[in-house]
Amino acid sequence: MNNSRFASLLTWALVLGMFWTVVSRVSPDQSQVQTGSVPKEGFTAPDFTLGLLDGGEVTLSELQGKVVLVNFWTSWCPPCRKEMPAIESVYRSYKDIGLVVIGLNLTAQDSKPDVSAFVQEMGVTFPIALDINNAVGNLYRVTALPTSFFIDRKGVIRSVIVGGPMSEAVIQSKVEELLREDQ
Amino acid sequence: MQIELLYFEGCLSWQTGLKNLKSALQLEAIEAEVNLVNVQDEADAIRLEFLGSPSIRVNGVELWTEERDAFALSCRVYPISEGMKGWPTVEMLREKLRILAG
Repeated sequence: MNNSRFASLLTWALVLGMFWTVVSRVSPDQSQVQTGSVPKEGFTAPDFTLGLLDGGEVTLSELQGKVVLVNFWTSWCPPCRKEMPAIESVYRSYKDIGLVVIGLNLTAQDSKPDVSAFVQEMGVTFPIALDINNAVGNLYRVTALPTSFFIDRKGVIRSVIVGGPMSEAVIQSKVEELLREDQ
Repeated sequence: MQIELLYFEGCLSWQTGLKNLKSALQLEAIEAEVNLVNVQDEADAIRLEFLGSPSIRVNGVELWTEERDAFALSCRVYPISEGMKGWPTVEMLREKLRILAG
């Protein structure tokens, strides 16, 4: 293959790659739904089902129509602990108008008694999901704690915050923005 | 070889990370000091482009790099064969060091 033909093919490959990157992203203003599930902003949140600390289970896809905050945490992680009261406060303010919070504990790196003690100490009232084998942590490619995913009513990840602690104002503004959007 | 371990005092997992790093260096017969960098607050995290505690840099390059838009205090987790841990294993570190030693 001569050089100019190779360069031409390479150019086309790059153009097609860029085109795919642009069209596969979901714009917040569009009703388009991304079919692929990728743990990144603009993509459908990967689905999961996990058992809850208080019994029962939660399935993310069953929460469509709600705004969902998935917060990955462990009891030994100081920024996770620090931001928990802010998350709880926002949850209490907005749960009746469509906010669901899932405190997703990476239980494989924690202990259930520590989780229970922490939840009690903090007075956390939102559901705590237990990722006992890191399946969801891996699915969401969590590399640091805390990590929070803000998911809109259509199940699309709209914002990812790695690290913390998030302030109540930050959580509130993100949640309010998503709650304002039509179903 | 310049080695830095960036840590955040709150996430105690950095101590195991340091222990593993020292073991890996010894097993690879690399003589280098580990410079500990204490990331104390959010301003430090932003300035140092901190990916979480512990993070390890060799000659200024992250051993496990990743794209981030923003930086904050966090406890880093590493995917290992048994799931995820708050530190890289000795084997993971040895593999990276071998590649760098070329």
